[in-house]
Amino acid sequence: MQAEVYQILDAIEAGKYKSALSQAAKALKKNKDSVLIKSMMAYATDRTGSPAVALQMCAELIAAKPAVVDDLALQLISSVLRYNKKYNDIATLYSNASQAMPLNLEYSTQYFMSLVRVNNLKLQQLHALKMQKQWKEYKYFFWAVSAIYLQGVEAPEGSPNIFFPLAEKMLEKAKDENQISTFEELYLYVLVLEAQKKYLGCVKLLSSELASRLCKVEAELQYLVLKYMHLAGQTDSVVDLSRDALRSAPDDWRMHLSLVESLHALLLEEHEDLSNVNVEESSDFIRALDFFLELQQEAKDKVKGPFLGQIELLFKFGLYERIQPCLVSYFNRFGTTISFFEDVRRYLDTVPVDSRLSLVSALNDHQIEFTNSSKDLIAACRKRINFYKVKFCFSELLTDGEKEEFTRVLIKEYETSLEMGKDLKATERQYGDDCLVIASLLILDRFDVSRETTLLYHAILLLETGLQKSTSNFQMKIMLVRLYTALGVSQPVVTHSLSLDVKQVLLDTLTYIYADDFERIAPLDVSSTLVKKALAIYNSNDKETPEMLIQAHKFGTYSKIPEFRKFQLRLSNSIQQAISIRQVALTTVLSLSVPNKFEELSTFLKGLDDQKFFLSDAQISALHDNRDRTMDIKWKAGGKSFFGILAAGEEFPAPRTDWIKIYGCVPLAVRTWIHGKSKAADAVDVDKVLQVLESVSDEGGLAVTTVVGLTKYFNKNDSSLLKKVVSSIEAHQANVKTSVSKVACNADLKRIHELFEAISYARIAGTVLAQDSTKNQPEVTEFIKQLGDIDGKFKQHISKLHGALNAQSVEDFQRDRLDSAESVPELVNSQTTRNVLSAALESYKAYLQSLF
Amino acid sequence: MSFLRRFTADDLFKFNNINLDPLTETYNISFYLGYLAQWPDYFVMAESCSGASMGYIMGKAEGDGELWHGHVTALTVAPEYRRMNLAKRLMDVLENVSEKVYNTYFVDLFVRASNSVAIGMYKGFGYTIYRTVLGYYSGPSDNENAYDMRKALPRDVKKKSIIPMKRPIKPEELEW
Ligand SMILES: CC(C)(COP(=O)(O)OP(=O)(O)OC[C@H]1O[C@@H](n2cnc3c(N)ncnc32)[C@H](O)[C@@H]1OP(=O)(O)O)[C@@H](O)C(=O)NCCC(=O)NCCS
Repeated sequence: MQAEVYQILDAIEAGKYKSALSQAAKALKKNKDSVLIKSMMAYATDRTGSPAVALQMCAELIAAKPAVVDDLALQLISSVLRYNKKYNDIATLYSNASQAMPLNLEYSTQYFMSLVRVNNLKLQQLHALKMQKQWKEYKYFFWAVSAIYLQGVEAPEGSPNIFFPLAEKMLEKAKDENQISTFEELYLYVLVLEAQKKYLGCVKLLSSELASRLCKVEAELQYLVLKYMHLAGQTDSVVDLSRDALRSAPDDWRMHLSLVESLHALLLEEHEDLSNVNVEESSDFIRALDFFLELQQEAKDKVKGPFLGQIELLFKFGLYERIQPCLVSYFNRFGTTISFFEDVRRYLDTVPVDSRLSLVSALNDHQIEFTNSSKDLIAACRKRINFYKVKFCFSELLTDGEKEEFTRVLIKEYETSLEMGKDLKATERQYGDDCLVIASLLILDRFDVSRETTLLYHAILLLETGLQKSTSNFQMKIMLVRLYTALGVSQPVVTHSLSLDVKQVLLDTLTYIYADDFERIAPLDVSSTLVKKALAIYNSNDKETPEMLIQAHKFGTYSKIPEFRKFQLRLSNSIQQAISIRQVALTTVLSLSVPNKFEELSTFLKGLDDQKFFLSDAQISALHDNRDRTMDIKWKAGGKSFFGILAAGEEFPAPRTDWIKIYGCVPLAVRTWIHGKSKAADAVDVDKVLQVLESVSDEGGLAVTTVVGLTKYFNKNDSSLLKKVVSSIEAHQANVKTSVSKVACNADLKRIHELFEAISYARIAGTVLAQDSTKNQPEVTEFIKQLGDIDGKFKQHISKLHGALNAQSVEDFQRDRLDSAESVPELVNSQTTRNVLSAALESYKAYLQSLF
Repeated sequence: MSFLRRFTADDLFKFNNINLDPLTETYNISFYLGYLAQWPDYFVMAESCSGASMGYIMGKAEGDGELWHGHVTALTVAPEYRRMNLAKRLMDVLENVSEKVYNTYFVDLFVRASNSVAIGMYKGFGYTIYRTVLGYYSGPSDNENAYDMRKALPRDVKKKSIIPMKRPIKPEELEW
């Protein structure tokens, strides 16, 4: 048998699974009971693309008596199970093995790790303690404590938490017995104390001789001590410690913050009511100011800390009028650094409205006038750009004329900067890029008032021009994606979003920028490809993160275990995942709504996982919103952000609570038309689905009305509903016909899409009815006929819109969309303009074409 | 303005402005969490005064005997925060951890032969080119040599680790 086994293994290793299978089948005839051969068969079966059969084989092996205790067989089986995410089965597999051979450390460890994979904390705790008893290693003890701590973290709020005190007791004992031997073990102790708000205990532990022996990086320990001192309210000590730290590391912003915050806390401790205290004369303030001035004296060239720290002090103590001169001198000193504006951004809000313009002009007095070295030229340019940013921050105060002049200056500055940057690599940004960003923001300010789509084109043209010289400027790409989306132009959204190369975890945080509602403006095949991409990260999370939790146990990095767990949950319960799953279902249902794809549609709907699509209110509000909002631009004091202007009063990214409900329930509802009420144990009842849809019908518009009407018809057999569905679609259709006579922006396409979506659902219903001979009542015949009329009219309208665009040359289209009282900024060349307009024209046409 | 702290798994949700840069690769979950699980003190984030992510460094300790060393796996600073000494401060942390926590003989890193900005920078930090690795960066659209740059730490008293190798090597000859 040995030789046969090796042969099969060789075949598996070489990736020849088919041949491995046939060899294994032969070998099995001679060795009927060999679990090893069976497990090799399961493995090869899985790899040849028959996971269901493979899992059945595994199930038999798991149930086998006596339990499987062959190392290789166990590995193969668990690999199949892991690949198919059957994590609970792996736990059973190793539970059996370790019970059969209780002295086998490997099986015992594997069993523990399989419990980690499924997050069974209670069993982890029990098993780890058993392991510690058996093998007398403290590592297992800490595994147990960590599992206890996590049970505390995951315990429902409100109930008394027995886990933290238990973990603390165990750690205290370990410490007394000198069994804490790594910093991570000590850190676990700190976390357990922190969870119980025993901050003083944390400080004590971290200040111990043990801590300094175990933590070799002094700064790290210092930071932790400070953090807990702060929480413990040991304000005096925090002040002393942060001062000390700042003397050696004057650029550590965290230390500045903790110093300033503590000083403020001290002041509050001394005075109940600050309103009648002369803060400037308080000794804490004076001492602090002196300290910063002293640090400033000693500061080396690039060190910003003491200067910004001083501003933070004034800010925290509410001495706003003293901030302005500091801002000017900060600008004078650090205006040439790129991050100047971000450094001071939050203080700019405090400048009183009537002093803002004088601040702007004071900054202007500190520009670098004459230089000739290229290095200085670049510095001077940076400084001017920082000045422009401040000016833009206060641009609410500028007149229209001043804004126009400002835009011209910015574009001029950009052009000059190109010369300095001609040798920059393609991966670097041009020095003047931000000028174009500000100029487009100024254009958008005007758009905010007039809602003239011409202005969107102007902003696009500027940014496209910038992107040609700065091909990797992702900020410009993100702006462009949103601007094109606002116009309802899909092709460049795809191009630019692809060039952002969003992948892995970025899919969770950034997908919203290009994919939100994309199906409303793009042909279905295009949008479904784009929205499907996001799902990859959730699959990776399911597969990879449990293994990394295992790694953290293996390396004893206890502080990372709760961190990884949180990470895992943030992804598995992410809003973006909920959205993407629904978008994929939506685009799939719509693209399969035609009669000749009915079978596919039916299969697709049958396979839906109710638990993923039907979320309760509580589940929805517990979703994690990981969408990265810092991609928005909020440079204006008090004004709207970039996303805000384009979203026209709505929030972007939107919370999408109702949307998640609607598009979770719509496919479940449509499923009942085809498959009737599901009998599956975990299926959601159709009444519940209807109830949710009706509760959000205001938000859901025509699509929801249609689906609700049809679902009721199919489930309640009220034939008058068919008529109602038809008349609401007809009403909307009449409305679209008069309101959308030309495609010019996102809102036009959205209206058309709403109609298209409703017609698609009605079409599905029509197909179901046409197939069902029991349903040939007159209402049904009438419905199918009316549906035909609606569809005909819809296509007529679309074809008219399409025909109008098709008749236009790019030049005609350009004249139509771009030529208004305002001319395109000179910087933009005619080829760019042509490309942009042509992309818009083609996108509109492609979209309309796809609706046929 | 900034401060440095340990990188956490949560930071993976907020490092977009760094990773959208074309020279910074985004890896899979296992890659980042694997480093965090094994070398939590070698993975450091620089955060700005407004809470934005500015840049990070990730590294590891590996090797046997006198080749026990710290390795820079990735160092990157977002475009808007460059030339503020952040890379320098992040490298200081990595060297400090290599010396104090792992007690290594030297620190090394690989850099694209064409990345003149980074090479110049590392030279400024005291690194020298130890050897060339031929075709280290090779993919469908890519074939570029890497420089293996090193800096000796106090444990390597005689600075043996940085005596340059005469001939270039192939990737398969790498020890790790
Ligand atoms: C390379 C990189 C990390 C530098 O980050 P940084 O924070 O700007 O670097 P520092 O401010 O600490 O620079 C330290 C020194 O390096 C040199 N340097 C850095 N960037 C430079 C540049 N663009 N041109 C010339 N010298 C440069 C300078 O001597 C600088 O000191 P100085 O500013 O006092 O003159 C950053 O440009 C980056 O993330 N690039 C993309 C990713 C990458 O290439 N990583 C390296 C891969 S191994």
